[in-house]
Amino acid sequence: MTNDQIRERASTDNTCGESTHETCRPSLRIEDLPFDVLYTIASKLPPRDYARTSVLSTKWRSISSFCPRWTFADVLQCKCSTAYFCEHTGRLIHDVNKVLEKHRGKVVETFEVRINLVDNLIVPHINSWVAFAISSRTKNLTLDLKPKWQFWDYKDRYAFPFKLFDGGNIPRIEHMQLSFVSLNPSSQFRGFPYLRKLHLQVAHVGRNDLQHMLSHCCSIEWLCIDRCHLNDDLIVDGSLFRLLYLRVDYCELTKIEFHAVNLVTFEYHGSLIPINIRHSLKLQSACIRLDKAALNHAATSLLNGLPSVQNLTLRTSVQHLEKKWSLDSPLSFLCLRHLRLFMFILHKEADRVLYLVSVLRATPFLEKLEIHFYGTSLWLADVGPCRNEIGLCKYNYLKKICIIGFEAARGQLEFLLHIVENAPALEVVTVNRTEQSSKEIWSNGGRSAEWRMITYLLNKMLPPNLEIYIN
Amino acid sequence: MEVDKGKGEAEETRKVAEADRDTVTLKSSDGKLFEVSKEAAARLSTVLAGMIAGGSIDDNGTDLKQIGSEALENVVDYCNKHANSIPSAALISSSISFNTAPFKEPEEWERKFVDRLSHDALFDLVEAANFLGMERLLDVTCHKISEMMKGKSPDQIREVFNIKNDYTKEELEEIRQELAWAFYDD
Repeated sequence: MTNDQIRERASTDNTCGESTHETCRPSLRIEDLPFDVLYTIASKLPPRDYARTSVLSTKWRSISSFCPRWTFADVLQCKCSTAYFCEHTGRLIHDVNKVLEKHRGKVVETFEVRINLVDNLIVPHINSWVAFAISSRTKNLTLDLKPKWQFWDYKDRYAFPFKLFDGGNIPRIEHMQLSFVSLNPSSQFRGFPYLRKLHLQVAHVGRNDLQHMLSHCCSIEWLCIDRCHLNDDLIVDGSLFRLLYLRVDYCELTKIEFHAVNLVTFEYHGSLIPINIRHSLKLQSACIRLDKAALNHAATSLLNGLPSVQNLTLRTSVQHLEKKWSLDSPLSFLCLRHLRLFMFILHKEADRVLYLVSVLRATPFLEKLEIHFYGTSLWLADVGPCRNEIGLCKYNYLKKICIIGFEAARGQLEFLLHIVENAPALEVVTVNRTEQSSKEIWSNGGRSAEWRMITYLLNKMLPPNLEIYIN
Repeated sequence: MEVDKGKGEAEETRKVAEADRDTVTLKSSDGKLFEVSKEAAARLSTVLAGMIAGGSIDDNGTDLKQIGSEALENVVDYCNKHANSIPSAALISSSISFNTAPFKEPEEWERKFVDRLSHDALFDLVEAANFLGMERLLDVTCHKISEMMKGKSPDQIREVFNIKNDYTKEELEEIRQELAWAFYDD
């Protein structure tokens, strides 16, 4: 009997349908669920909602006092004047201290403080809170001290009290977010052995200190470093065996080097710098967003730094194209299967579109290619070389190609035809005039007659054995 | 031709045998039968995985006396949908948000799956998932319930979930004072 038949039988046998079902039993029985299930439900609430559940009933109270999770946040901070704000912060500190006093010696699973570090007077309080978190064997620690308004104007950071960890105290922290802190670990600091997830945000930290700290967090799986201006190299030579996810955003680095053999995902935003994660042979996807670069330089740099990547997305805000048919590197992306390129074309470089072939030559096993054109209009731009100038080039594994932002410029058309003629395994061709999101703009009839003509011509030009989607 | 036919028949028997091996039949408390892929069952439920490994699966329908037919239908439906969905590429959530719990957000289809359930069906499914040791389904259903609690006042939560307030007035006042920080904007 197939599942459908079984299901059909089940539903016909079931005389008590959903509507009557609601009235069959009088009430929802949330409190009848087992204790650990109730805890699972409660633990998915934000800490503040979680704490509030203890008001519901004695049963709920026993859940949240069994495993306290606290968050202390300046909830009103954006609505009030400075005077009120200070008073409010004072009250928050007072409350936190009172609660901590009462729970000294208990286990607190999650401890989250979000408070604006606008006054150094609160520093001793934060110190005592961190000490509390350590003694309470906290697993999830969040210290978000960044001021809500223009935090970049503030020079001071909260000095994270590494000395609290010196006396043989092994921190139990597994997840940690530190925003607006400065990190100066002492030489005795032995790291966070249980730390799995670390998020550093607008922190002041030097190259050696960061290196020292990271290479002593050997369990780390997830790492995000966000706007921590290093102005130096970020090199972690100690093996981070467990690291699966790495993200580096706008850190003003001069170089990145990680020895992370199991890394799966890498994301980078910033300027074009040497990246070396060559040991990450299992790298599934990389998303690279550069401020400004020439496509050839960016591609060559990535080829040297992450040659094993399987899915690559490259987007450059201000991109230049060079008149070159190949990269300055003998290497190839031997594992690359899926490439997404966001091509920002400057108006004066509309004649260079076809040179993006230079990147494809280094991707011999590519199966899926997605190119998004954006920036200045290339509409019917009749400039640049033709495909017969490229020379021999084959894409034997390419099955799908998708071009978005197609404006029938010569470069785009020649590129498309070059691919179609040299990809024997090609199955699907998708050509879209615009990104899906901006479709409405075009539906007002802009150039629709020309586009119909282009669609007609493309359909005639492309081989009939392909699946073709033109929008 | 003969050879071909024989081959076809062999293929047919092989297919049937394979179909036999590939699914398990589960029986709800009210005696209804459901079939689910053995692979999905073993992957998604620690209890079923244990039963399959231990050979305690009954071909005529493994009795699950604690689970009603409606909940079991949802369990089976979930297993099938899970088998057909494309898993996310990254092993851990690539979202930048810092979740305190190591929980991957429900995927679109999982959200839809729990959204269509009535409250009672949802609670039944939570119980079934808990009983069968289906960690992910339990996570997704508990997430849905927590969404229903989020941002509500204690009174609203008590009303929605029919929770009886068993505190005395004095006790309640004491707790509220202790948790003043959690009630600022009320």
